[in-house]
Amino acid sequence: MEPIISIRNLYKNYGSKQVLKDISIDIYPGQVIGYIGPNGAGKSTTVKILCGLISDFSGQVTIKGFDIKQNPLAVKSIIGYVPELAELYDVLTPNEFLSLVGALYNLPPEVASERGKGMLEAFGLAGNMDQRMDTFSKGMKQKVLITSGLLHNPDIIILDEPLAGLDANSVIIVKELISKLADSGKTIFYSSHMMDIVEKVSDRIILINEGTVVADGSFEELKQKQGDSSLEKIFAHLTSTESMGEASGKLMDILGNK
Amino acid sequence: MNFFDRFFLKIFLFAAPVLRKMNVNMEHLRAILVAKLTMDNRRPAAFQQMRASKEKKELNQATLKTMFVSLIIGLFFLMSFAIGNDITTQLTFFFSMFIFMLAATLITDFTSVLIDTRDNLIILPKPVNDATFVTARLLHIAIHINKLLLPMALPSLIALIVMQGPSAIVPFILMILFATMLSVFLVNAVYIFILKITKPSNFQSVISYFQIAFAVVIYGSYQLLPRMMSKMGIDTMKVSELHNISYYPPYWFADACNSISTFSFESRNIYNLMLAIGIPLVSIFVVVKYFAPAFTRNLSMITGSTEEIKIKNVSKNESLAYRQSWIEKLASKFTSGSSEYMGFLFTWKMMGRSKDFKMKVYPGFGYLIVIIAMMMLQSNSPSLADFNEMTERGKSMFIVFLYFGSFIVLSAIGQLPYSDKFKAAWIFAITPIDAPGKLLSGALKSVIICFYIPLVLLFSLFGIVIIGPSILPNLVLGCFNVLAVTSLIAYMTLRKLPFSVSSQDASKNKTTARNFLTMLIPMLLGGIHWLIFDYTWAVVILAILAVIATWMIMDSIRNMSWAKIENFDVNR
Repeated sequence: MEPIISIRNLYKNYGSKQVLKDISIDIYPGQVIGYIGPNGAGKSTTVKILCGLISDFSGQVTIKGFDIKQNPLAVKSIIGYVPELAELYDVLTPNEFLSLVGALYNLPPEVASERGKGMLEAFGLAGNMDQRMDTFSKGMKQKVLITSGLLHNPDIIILDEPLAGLDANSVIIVKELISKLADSGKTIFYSSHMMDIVEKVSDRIILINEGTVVADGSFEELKQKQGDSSLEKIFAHLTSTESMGEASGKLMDILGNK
Repeated sequence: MNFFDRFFLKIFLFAAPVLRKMNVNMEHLRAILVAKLTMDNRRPAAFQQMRASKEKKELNQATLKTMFVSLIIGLFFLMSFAIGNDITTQLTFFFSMFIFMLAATLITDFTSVLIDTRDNLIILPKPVNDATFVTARLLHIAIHINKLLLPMALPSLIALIVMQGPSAIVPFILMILFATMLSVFLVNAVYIFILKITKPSNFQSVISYFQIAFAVVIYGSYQLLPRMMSKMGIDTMKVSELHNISYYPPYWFADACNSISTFSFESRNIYNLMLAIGIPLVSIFVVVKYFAPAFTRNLSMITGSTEEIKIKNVSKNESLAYRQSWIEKLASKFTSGSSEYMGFLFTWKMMGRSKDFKMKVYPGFGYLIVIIAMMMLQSNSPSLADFNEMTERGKSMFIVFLYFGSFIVLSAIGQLPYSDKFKAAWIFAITPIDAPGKLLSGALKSVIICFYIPLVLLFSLFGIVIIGPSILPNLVLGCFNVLAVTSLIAYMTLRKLPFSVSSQDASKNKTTARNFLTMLIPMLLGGIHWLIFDYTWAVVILAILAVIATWMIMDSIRNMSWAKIENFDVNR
């Protein structure tokens, strides 16, 4: 099978600092990729490159056969991106925001409006569609963002910490949505810190640390290889220089508790 | 979107055929512009940002309000037609004010309205091509400038038609266009300059200093210009007779405007006309060619999202060792107990770093300088001899200078409870603080040391050098009167913990009557001081009383209990 996302020898520098060092990944349609790593590992940079937000990298990134440098617009049309930290124009109402997003994805206005309304209703925001979002809670904003990322029914969905601020029931909805989308052949790139959720939703986990891939495989494979029982432990094992027990022991010492 | 937005959108979309040729996607362009204009309409513009009254009510007609304020400014420009002897002089004044006001407004609007870094995450991941994105941004800026420009220029255009007839219309509009180009260049130059001298993450706070300076200059010119004019005989002057005037851009526009409408083309007029057209064109070329690219490069950094946090390498001993900074040493000298010490330091640091606080309080210093300058400029301004011999006028000035500081302290105290990050005040609720008054007295001491003591020290130095040590009793009395009054007012009004209330509530419970009263008390005390100024024994007795009063009031503030703290509720 042809990979839908193919990353070859990807390097990216900010000034003298190398953020990504020779990353090569092939992702196939219908996969749910859990993309994890500690802060500053290069997760966001990878996501931004895949979305076409950063173009001055070296290496080759092909998405559904399109080279992202040569054909950024074609790539952007098949990707749905849900950024972290409720980044939206919050003086607009969800309806206004979604019609902007719909137009930018070249959706006919009636389709955008119909889909937007339907999806917001499913998220329980039916009564808030014409209220300005500056009064919304984090979770409500996140629901609007998820809607805006799925509005054009993209083949690839890139989620950057999509569950931040959502309540427990909404988390269940989104988790089920992710697996249903994957079943229907969508590819999902899920970047997150929440190990327990990544462990459950993704069928392939890629762990990066200091700009390189340190582990790649299904949760079962990683468990066997590392001999740890949970993703949390695998993560700690692969990315930390100091043992966690040592650090917490030190913290206790400082307070004088033995 | 209101009538004007739809109107401008229609006008600019007339260019659709040309834009399509430039590979601009018209549907995308329209969608972005509609969203942007809708947002503008719901956001306070530069004029309204400085005001304390941030109504909770949703802003709906921000565009109309902005245009209305611009119209008032435009009417204010009519003042220039009362100056001078000829139309060129009047237009020179008009263009000076026009360029200044437009540039000053755009400086703040560029960051808050026109350059929205959220675009990077919202619009750029969508399949929008670069031509569309850049065009949308440019058209948005153009529409925004037009909304300011038209109402600002309209009254003067009408005045000009009345005075000169319809022949003035075309040259005036042309010159407005070129003057606008020059203003855009100035704004861009300032931006590039700021980006050169500071880190992008500091950009916003530097811009807010510009806003403060802007407010002060407006206030100053409003107070000082008429006085200076009557003093220098500007009402009968002719700018064209001034030396070096040909280096002054507003003069070019004025002269060019006048020479076209009257068809008088002497060599000097032609020279000005060429400058009036040439310089703006060159400057706009520089903006497009050199400034804009550098600008977009720095743009994403303004929000500081990509900036790296530098990790300082500290050796183990250094990082763990406890060492007091100078301000901590100062705090421990003037406070006792950890609550008061903490209140002092917290207030000090928040006052220095909170943009909100600075925006509300710092313009006060500017106004103070303007008022002092105004008194100096008065025809019979006091000389050093007045102070030296302590004449009646010297005495008055002494009192005014000394007591004026209380207004700054009072305005800082008035702003003290308010903050955008008021929710962080939960730390005061969950920690075992027995008397919140200690926090308040620490905060008050911090305000006084920050805003009043430097003034007093400076003024004492001046007084002792010029007048001699004999002034000391009066200095002590003045200083402690101010301290007693400000702490008394703080005792009566400061019933909220520092930085613990939403800024939006700031205007609600303050009445002008109360403000006026608090202004009156220092003035009254100043008056009494003035009366007894020469009776040293009375001054000494009163000074002792003032010191005791200050001490007692401070002590009552320290002992204020939780019961006296008004509606402290972190959940609000």
